[in-house]
Amino acid sequence: MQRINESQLEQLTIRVLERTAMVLADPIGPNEANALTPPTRFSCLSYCGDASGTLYLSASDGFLAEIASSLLGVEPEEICLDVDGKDALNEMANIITGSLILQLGGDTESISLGLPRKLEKAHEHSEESDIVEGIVETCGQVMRVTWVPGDAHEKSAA
Amino acid sequence: MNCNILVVDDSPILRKAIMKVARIAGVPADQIFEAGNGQEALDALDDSWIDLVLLDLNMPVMNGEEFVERLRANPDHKDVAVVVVSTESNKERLQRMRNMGVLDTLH
Repeated sequence: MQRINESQLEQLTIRVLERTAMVLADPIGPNEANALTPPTRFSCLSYCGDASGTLYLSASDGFLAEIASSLLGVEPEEICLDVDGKDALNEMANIITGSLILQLGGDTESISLGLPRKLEKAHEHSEESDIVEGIVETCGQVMRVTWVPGDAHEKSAA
Repeated sequence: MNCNILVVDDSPILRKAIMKVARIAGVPADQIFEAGNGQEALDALDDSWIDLVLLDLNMPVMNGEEFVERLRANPDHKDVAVVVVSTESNKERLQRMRNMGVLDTLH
């Protein structure tokens, strides 16, 4: 299976946000991200089969409010973050992982997507992890996407 | 637009978004139904006449593939139109869905 780098992961995420939720985002570096509203909600989704891995996704409340409000056609202030915000994060994890697998050649390999899963806190990656991490922002709000190929965080598929 | 649509997806927010699109397309709200997994979808089909199912594949309890297998095995529902709306990209799996009579797959 192919690999992608940080920039490709960020561009993939940006395309998903724009196409699915009509949220326009830009890639930023870690130093710039540290000055903005940090992610407070966390999710992950694993895939297995001919290749395995996990995508970890986190976002700030404001970012999730933008996504959810766009999907639902309401104002961000009307969004219940514990319900719609959480669901929006899980769904973005689902779509981003699906797009990632497609970009990695998943249409010709047998790969099963798992179900998105809420995490209580940011996943701590071991120093040995072969991770690719991207950060995007919109209106001062941050979303972090981390791809760990071969990660066994969750083996079960739908 | 006079048809009954069933939206099947384990994501509530995505169900709402798809249902909203269906309303914008002219389907009356009382003709749009929803289900969170394949089993709920089968139950919905027993309760209401459905013309079109918009179906996710990766769901808990009963996934989309098993749902269509059960659908086609039921004489009362075997001809219901199904369109897959999923992040699934595996060509083999999508072809299996088409072999079971799924009209189209939207990624």
